[in-house]
Amino acid sequence: MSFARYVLRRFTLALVSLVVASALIFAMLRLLPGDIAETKLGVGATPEAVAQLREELGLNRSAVAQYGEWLTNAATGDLGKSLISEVSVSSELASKSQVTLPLVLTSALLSLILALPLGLFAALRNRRPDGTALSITSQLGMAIPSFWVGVILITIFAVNRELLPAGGFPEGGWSETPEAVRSLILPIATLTIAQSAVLIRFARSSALETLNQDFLRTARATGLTRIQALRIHGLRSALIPVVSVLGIQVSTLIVGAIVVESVFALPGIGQMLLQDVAIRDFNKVMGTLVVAMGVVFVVSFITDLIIGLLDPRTVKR
Amino acid sequence: MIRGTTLKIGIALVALVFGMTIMSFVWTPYDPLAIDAEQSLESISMEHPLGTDMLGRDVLSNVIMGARSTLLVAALSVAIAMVIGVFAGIAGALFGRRARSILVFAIDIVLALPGVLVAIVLAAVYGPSTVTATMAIGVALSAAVAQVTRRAALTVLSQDYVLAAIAAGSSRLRIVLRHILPNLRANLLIQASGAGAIAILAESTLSYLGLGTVPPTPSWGRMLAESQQFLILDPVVALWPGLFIAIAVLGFNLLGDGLREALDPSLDTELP
Repeated sequence: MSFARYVLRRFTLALVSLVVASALIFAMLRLLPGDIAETKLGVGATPEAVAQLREELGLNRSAVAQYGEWLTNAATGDLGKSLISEVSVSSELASKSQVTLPLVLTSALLSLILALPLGLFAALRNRRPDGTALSITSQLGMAIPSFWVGVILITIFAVNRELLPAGGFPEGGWSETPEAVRSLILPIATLTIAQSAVLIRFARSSALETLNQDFLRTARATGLTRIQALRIHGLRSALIPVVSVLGIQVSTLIVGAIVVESVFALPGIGQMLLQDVAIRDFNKVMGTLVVAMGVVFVVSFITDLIIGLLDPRTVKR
Repeated sequence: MIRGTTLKIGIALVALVFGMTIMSFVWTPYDPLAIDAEQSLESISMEHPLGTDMLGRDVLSNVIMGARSTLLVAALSVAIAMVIGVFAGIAGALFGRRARSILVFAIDIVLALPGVLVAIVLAAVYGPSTVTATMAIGVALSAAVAQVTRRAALTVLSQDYVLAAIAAGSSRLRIVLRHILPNLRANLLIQASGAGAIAILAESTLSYLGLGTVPPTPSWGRMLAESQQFLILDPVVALWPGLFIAIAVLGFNLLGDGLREALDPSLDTELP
């Protein structure tokens, strides 16, 4: 298979996955007990008003037709309007992402910078006291729930010594830059700690696996030190699992963002999603979840490409 | 680490959590739901070894009862994941090309769906409950189980003695029962243990977010969410539920790692 065909194949796969996933979410949300029109109008609504709204919202048509319309609109970037506030879902998502994106991207970057060298270190010092201590630390870090880390950080830095805010985000958003930055420090720290623990462990085991390969044994036998051998011969193959973990990281980052926004009462996409679930704003829940899934599939497409470049054997298969 | 230590620590921690669960059916120091306004936020004492919460409820009793909800959800969701995962994984290794590629595609999609998002959808539809949380975690975990099972089953299927059995006319069912399942036993045990750790973390996360176990049933995640509101008055109450979540997750993770060490001799080689 040529590389172009590989790219096309992966792209189609990502696209089909997204459509299937969105159909699944749509179908699940359609099972909603109680009628959307009735929910929207409240208990006292007359049957005529409900019937009229059902007509307006297109609820009388078949589920397949409704999904078809949603999908065609979504393809042009129109995710519909909130059932409650009637604001467009995409503009709501855009405005909330000013909190969520900096939080998620900074944490992802920081945890990579922190975890990859530490994971490599833990692998090189395998079965020595310092390497063991590091892998025990990451094992502990994986067991500690992120919301607990958040609560402990709040206790130390916001309650005991009032250095940083315990939660919230300035009303004015990023125009109040210093406050906005200060309110994101603890959330980013929380998410970074949670992400790093998993990443360190993954980087360690992938480096260990590479170190155990025959070609590296040969390289060592020719007189190279372990680090030289790894740098010259092993880096490429050790990078493959690290790149593939980035794909998995996206899911955990999305969930992590929901949790951390909840701990620190940050008005981001995660908090919005939880509120929409509580008030049953079907359109916004649908739009938010599909965008989240879209991010997951796009990242997994990109990681597939990088893996294809790093390891031509994947393309041939 | 010294050989076998991981397994021993893992077993000890898991036994502690199981012990607490069993104990919750027999005896707790106080009624975990008994409210006593005069004993609000008591610190650690002989009467209340872990103190009391805002409403004067005994924290130790709540921690013991919380073990039950968490472990119950974890055990049931792991059971769901193992049943779906093993069926799908073996089918994905055994069936013809077309059925196989559809299964692999389905596994990939579920694998990409974050479990907590599935739980959020279910909670949106049916309202938050222990059942929706269990189902969501179970389904989300099943994809990983299916993937690993499929790979392991493919390896077994390519062994000479299995090929010989197929050539001798063994039925598919017989191949699965006689060759694939017995060979997967160790692998499945390790996976179930790792899945247990993820399930406990997921359950407490959902309960923390208000999407899992509903009040008044005590659960570790919800205890933490409640005590967070009173951090300024008493930060210690928030420590306990988090500590026990960590103990339970660590226990299952170490149990899985320890089993892998004990059952997979290939990990024993020294580094070059």
